[in-house]
Amino acid sequence: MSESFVLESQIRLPYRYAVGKWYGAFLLGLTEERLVGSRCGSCGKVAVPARAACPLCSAASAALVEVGPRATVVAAARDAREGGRQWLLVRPDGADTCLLTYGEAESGTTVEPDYDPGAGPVIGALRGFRATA
Amino acid sequence: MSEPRFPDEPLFVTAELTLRYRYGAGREATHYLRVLKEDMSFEGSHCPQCDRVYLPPRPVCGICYAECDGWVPVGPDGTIAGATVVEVPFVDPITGEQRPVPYGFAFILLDGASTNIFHFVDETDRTRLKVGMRVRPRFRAERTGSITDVEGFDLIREEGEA
Repeated sequence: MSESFVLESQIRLPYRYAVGKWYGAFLLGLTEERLVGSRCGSCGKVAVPARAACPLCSAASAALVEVGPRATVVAAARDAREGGRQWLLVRPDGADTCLLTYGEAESGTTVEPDYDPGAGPVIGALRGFRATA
Repeated sequence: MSEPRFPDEPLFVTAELTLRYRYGAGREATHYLRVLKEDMSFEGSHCPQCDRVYLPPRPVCGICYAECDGWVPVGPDGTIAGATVVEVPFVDPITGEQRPVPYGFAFILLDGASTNIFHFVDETDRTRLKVGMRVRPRFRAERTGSITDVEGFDLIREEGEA
């Protein structure tokens, strides 16, 4: 039997969505080089990024709160594939939840945000976190 | 610095998901696509029990479940079994780009085949597309072993017809 054809193709799905006013406040905060979370109207915990409902008790958020800029690395893991980067789970000062981000730092250390000033209100405006100077 | 604030206007995120894949076409599709590419012709698979000829080919007859026993040349001309003109723009999932409209699209029964293939037809006026019209494939000069090696089907117009 002759060799089988191998078909190569792709499915491309471009999309666009409105992020909502709470996550919008977080993205807007990045353009001002600050981290914006939300305070729960019931339990008072602070979630970051800001969101409409508390991830801990599900009650509606009451207000926007600035957190950080310093944060503590809770966990770090390297993507071992070629070109892979290190992921960090960081908890900004004043926040009760963590952000998943990039950075070169070890667990337990203190880090600060690394912003891309020209990126605009997108998640790429936060390049990651780095060790505090 | 001022207090954190909500955006004045809705913020949008633009993103894209690209899913690349590859798969072995299998014995039947490999033969079908190779003949298409190298000979610019069509061959269907033949059921020895009910005598149907499948295009695209399949290893087993979908009606009587007998294993197909060989290849039968079909076409290249065929007859329109159903047709439409697509006028609503949509994003082509292969390219991620908006497909240009309008374009004609038809179910085509190639001569000698028992099943239809579907493909583009060179007519964008819905009133001029009729079941029973005769069509002929237009092959690309550069072929890769894909059904898109056929660019589309042209209506076979009578002498003097526009």
